[in-house]
Amino acid sequence: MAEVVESVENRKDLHNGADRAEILLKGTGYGVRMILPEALPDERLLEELLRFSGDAARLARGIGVVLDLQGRSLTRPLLLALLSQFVWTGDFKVLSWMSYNVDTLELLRSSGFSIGEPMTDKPERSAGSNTLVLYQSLRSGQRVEHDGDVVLLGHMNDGAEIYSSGNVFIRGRLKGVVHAGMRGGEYCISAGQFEARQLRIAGKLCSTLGSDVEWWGKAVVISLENDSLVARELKL
Amino acid sequence: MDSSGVQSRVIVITSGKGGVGKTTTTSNLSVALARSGHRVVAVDADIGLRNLDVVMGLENRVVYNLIDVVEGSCKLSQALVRDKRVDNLFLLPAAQTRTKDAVSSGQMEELCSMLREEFEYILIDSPAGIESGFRNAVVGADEALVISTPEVPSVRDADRIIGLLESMEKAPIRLVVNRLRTSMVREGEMLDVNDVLDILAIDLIGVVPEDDSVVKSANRGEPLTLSDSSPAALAFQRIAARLAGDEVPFPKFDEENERGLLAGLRRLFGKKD
Repeated sequence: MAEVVESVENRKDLHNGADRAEILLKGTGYGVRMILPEALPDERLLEELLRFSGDAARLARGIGVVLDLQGRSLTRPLLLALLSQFVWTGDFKVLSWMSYNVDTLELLRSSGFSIGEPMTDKPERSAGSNTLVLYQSLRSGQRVEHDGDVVLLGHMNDGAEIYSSGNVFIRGRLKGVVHAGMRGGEYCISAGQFEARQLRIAGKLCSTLGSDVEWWGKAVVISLENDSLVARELKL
Repeated sequence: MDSSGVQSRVIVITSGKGGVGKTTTTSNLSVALARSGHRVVAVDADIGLRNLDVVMGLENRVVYNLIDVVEGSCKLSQALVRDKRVDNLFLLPAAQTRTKDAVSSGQMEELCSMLREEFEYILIDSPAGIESGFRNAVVGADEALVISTPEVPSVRDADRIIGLLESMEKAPIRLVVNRLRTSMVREGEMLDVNDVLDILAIDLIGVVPEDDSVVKSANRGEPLTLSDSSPAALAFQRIAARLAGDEVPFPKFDEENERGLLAGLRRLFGKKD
C-alpha cells in the first residue's frame, strides 16, 4: 500500500497538467520514466507509443524505461499488445512497471514483471516495510525485484532471479539466483528445498554450493550473521 | 472455424533450444493427423532457415512462400504445397532468402486467420530462440506443444518458453519429451520423464524414444508416420491421437522398444545388430 500512496504523490509532482492525454517522459536517476496517461484510450495509447521515435527513443533504449501506467486498468490483451507492438518490437529495456491501480499491479505481479520503483544504489526507504507475496512458481527467465521482503509460494526454477532489499522466503524448491538484503543488512533466505548453486545476501556471495553440502535438497534458512553466512536446516 | 464448420486449432510447436526436434515433430504430427482424416497445414515459421519442406520431402515443389503471402505477392492457395502422398495435407513453406524481420506479429495473426478458414489443424513450426521469430510464430496460436529432450539445458530453455507462453495466455501448453534413452535413464546418466515433468509442471502429451530411423527419414524426406512402425513413428501417432482428443495410454519404454522390433528379434535368435 505504501507503493500506491507514493505513486499517487509522484503523479502530482511529475504531472503538471496531468489531465493532458499525451505521453510524458521524465529523466530519473535510474532511467527514463514514461508516463502513460489514463485519459488516453487503450487504442490511442498504442498509436501514440508507436510514434515514439527520435532522440528520446534512442535515449530510452540505451538506459532503460519505467512504464508508468498511472491508474489505468490494464487488461491482459493490452499488456500483450504493449509487449509485442512496443517493447519487443522497439527493443526497449523495461526496468519496471508502475501503477497505482491495484488490479493492474496484481496482473503485472502475477505475470512475473518487476513493479514499483527500480532499485538504485541510494536507499530511499527502509527495507522490510512491504512484502511482496507471489502465489506462483517462477520459471527460467522471470525476474522479480522488490524493495522489501519477498514470499514465493511456489518453486523457483533454474534461471529465475529474485532481488530483494529484505528477506526472501521460497515455499518450494530453490534452484534460481536469490539476492537478499541488496542494500546491506543482516537478512535471510529460506527455502523449502535448497538446490541453488549460488546465493547472495547483502555484500556476501557464496558460489561453491553443490550436492556435497549436507543440507542440499532440504529445508534450510541461510542468514547473514556477524558478516558470515550461516545455514540452518529446518526441522519442523 | 474452417469452411466445413469444424473448429480450427492453431498449435505452435516450440522449444527455445534448437535441435530438440521441433521440425521432426511438426512433420510427423501433420502427417499422422492428415492420415486420420483431418485437414492439416504445416507452417514453417523459421524464416531464413527453412527446413520443414526438406523434412517433409516437398522442397522441389515450393514456388511461393509465407512472406509472399503476407506481402500480397501471391494468393494463399498459390503458396500452399499439397502433399500428394496424403490427402488433406499441405505445407506453407518459409522464405529462405529473407530474415525473421520480414514479417510482423500482425501479419502472422492475419495469416493464421486466413488459414483457419481452410484447415482444421494449423501446426506452426517455431524457430529456436525467444526473439521476434518465436513471437511471430506464437502470436496467432491458440495452444502450444513444447518439445524438450531430457537434458538440463533443454529443460531450462523449455521452462523459459513456458513462462513466455503462459504470459501470452496460450492454453493448453503441453509437453513432448523427445529422444528419451531408457538405458541412460537407468544408469542415472539422463533425466527421467518424471524429473522433467517435476520441473516444468505442465501436462505431458507424449514421449518419443531415441530412434535412428528419425535421422534416416529426415534425410529421405519421408516422415515416419507415413508408413513406418518404428518406435518413434508409433510415439508420434499416439501424440497425434491425443492431440485429436483420444484417450491413449502411455506405454513404458524399454531397450527393446528403443531399438525396434527387428533388433529385438535378432537378439532373440542370437544374431548381432
